[in-house]
Amino acid sequence: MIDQFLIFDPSGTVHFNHQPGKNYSRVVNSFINDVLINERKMKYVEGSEFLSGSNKESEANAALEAENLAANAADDYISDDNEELDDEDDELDDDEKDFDGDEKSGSKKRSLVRNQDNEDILKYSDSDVTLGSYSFDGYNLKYLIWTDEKSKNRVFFTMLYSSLITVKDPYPFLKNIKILYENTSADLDKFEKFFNLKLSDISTLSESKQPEPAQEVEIRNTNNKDTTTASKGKTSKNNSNKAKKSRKWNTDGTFYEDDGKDESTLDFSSSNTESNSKQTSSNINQLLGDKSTFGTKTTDGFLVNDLSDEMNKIISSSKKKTIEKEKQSSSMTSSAFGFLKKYIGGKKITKEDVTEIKQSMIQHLIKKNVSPNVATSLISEVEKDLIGQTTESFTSIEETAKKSLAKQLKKLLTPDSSIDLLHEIQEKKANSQGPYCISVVGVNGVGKSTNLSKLAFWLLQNDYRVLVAACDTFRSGAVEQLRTHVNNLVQLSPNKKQIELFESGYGGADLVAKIATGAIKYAKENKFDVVLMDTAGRRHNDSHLMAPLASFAKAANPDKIIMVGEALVGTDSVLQAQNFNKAFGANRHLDFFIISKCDTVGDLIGSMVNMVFATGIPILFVGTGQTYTDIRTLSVNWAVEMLMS
Amino acid sequence: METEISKIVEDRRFISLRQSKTWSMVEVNEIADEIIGTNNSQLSIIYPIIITLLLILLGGYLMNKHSLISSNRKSFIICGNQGVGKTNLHHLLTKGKLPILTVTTLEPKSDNFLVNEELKDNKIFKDIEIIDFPSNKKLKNLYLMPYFDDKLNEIQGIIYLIDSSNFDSKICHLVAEDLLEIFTITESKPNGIDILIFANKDDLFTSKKVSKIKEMLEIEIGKIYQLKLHNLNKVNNNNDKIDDNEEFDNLNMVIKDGKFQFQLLEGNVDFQHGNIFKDNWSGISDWLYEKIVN
Repeated sequence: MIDQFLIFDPSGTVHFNHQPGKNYSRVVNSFINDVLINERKMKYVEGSEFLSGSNKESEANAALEAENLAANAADDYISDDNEELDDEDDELDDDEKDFDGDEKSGSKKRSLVRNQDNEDILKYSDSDVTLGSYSFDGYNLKYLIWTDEKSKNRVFFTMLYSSLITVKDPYPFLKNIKILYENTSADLDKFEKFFNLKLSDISTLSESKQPEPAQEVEIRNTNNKDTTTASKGKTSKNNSNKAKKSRKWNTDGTFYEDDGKDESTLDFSSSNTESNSKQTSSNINQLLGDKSTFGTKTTDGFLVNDLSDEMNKIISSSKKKTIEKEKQSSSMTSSAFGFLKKYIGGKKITKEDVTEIKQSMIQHLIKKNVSPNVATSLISEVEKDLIGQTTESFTSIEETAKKSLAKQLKKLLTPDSSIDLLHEIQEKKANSQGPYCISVVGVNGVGKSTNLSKLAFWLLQNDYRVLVAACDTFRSGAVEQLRTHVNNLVQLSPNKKQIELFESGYGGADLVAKIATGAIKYAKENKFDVVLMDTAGRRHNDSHLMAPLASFAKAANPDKIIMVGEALVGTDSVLQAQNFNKAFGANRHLDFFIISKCDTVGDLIGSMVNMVFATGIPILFVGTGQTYTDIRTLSVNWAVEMLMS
Repeated sequence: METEISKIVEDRRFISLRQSKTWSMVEVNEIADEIIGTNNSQLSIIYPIIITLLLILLGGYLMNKHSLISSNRKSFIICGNQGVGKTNLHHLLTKGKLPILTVTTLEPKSDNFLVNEELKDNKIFKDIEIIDFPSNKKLKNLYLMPYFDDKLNEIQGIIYLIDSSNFDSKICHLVAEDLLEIFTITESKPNGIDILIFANKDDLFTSKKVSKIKEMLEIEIGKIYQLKLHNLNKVNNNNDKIDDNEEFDNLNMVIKDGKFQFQLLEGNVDFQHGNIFKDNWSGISDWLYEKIVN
């Protein structure tokens, strides 16, 4: 059963609300937040088979593999390692799902149903609608986004139901509702009647399916039959399947048992050879056939029949219209002075216009060090945004496209929630909850220790007592390097006892966790406010090196895990960010990035875009030089300006 | 509004036509002086036409860029955290009734203020826009901040909604941060921008008193302001060291002995309470009428 059906527009106004029980708008709100605002769909240049589908997890894995093939074609064992890592992560993700309801863990669920779902999405997708599914907190949500031709407004159709039940063919249902809404949006009462009619169809189907989930495929086929086969099925089934009763649901939520008049929904045995060629329209016809019997049974039977006829007419006529429209658009030529519009604005942007500038925009981004995959994904978002838009007066398409790209970049780089480190440290100190722990991770040589000491300097300036823990027990000289930094900082700080180094030499991976816990204990005893933990640099695609990170995160449980990434690195930054983000196990991910060496790249700061796009984790600081004071917070406007220049 | 624009456009065109004619005559005369004996009849037709076209284009371009005509528009902005009822309030103010339900807003929406029947014909009450902005951080940076940059002079007031039934220290911190960000912008304008902080849902069991909310906010804003001063600078193009935290300069005056007070702001900050879902929002409409008239 559908728990809630909403039709709303981008302004947040709900135009239609079907809500038999409780209000589940929190699910819809989290859907809006996760999918409509934050979702970044990676499109891959190589391996176009990964192009579609909303399964982020498989996409991420596909990314790893695809990228590895491209980057390290010779290095066989690395990709093996990666697969290992992936498997681990899958398990972890499953765990995560159990532990953390707030995460959008549901979307990571991999199952047969989901694959089926993806196929369905592909099958029913259209030029003017976007389909998809989302799940949150035990509820499934199927959505359809439709862009109104005339007003250029988006309209969102969302259908919400408990994930315990499976609603069959949700996408055709959504599409039909969309068609009905398109035609009757002026008269909401009428639409509601139509909706209730359609709803009772889908309810019946889902209900009858419940007891026999194994028969799913057969039901699917049955549903595709047209009226004639349905009636045929009826006569034959009357004999064989008398015992079965299907439960019929009325619009008001009551139900009655239907004995033998409606077996088409439970008809699993009749042959369905011709069914697959039939489209959704036949499906509707069949359902309407059912409805006529339903209509005569109820007291307001004639009304229901009339409505269903009208509904049928609307749906079939709109199908014709779309075909005509497609024909028209292909043959349409610009008017006599159409060429002028290109220069003085007011031109409607078509797909051809965008394809012209698309390549140059992708090239522009790649020149800025953005990975080709990320660039293509970003531009495809821009494309979606542009098509159908009309240019403002005196702006060319290029300018409009640039504006749209700047908008996308801005949206991407702006953090979802503000991170105020000083406030958090202050809070923890005030409540005397022990020291605030920050650990720094990253690939070798990106400047972990340097940025750590920059942070330490800043914290010292704010009168916090800082303990630096040398958790890099691996590379020779790492501890000595930190000691040099700490000695410098002692000289620079007003109070000599403000900063100390905590170290216990070199050793294996188990020593790291020991040092981390030891440092926290020491900090608690000696009333340090902040513990900064330096870790060993590690290659992101080596699982032997990455595995200890999980146990480290568990033992130390730092308040913030920061990844240092360098601006110099190009395409690899995508994978670096993804792998490090996954390395901490369930319930834990990176908190933010520090992008180092920004002074060395000029305006080629595409790595920032790569990392944020790959993980959705914000950049908080950027390193801009060699001295302790060369650390800044990221200004999104500055970054966008650099990228667009 | 539209008829006004078209009228002005027509006027401009007319003026530009006349100008172009006089100019072109001068030019044509000059050319005629230089080239004596040639037949000027063709030139005298072509030049005026070209110049007229150019002037019309120029006029259109200028109007587009500087929006000279839209300066008398007044707008009110609704902002606040997620789920406090911004979209509902927007509907109340522009359509007069609550929508069926609202979900998270994705795009800002602006509509004209629905004025009382008696005041409808008054000229002051025309062209008043109410804009509902999404509260998501990303979307705020995308829509609200550019709007502040572009149209600061049009903004007549800001209605900031707070859910008083759900106002713990965490929410208080978020609201305070948000308000501080708004103040840094509004205080850059001489006399500031008037802000109404409306404590919505005041009749619930868990609701806090508006005076308590005000007190909590003042303390929190003061705290955050101090921390912000110690924060790292934002990265910028010219790498020279500029004086610290120029963006908070506007607020220097507001903090007195390390304490923030709403009444020290240039713009007036009013506190009201009620519940827009239960038809108890006269505080907002009274405030709006007052600000429109002044």
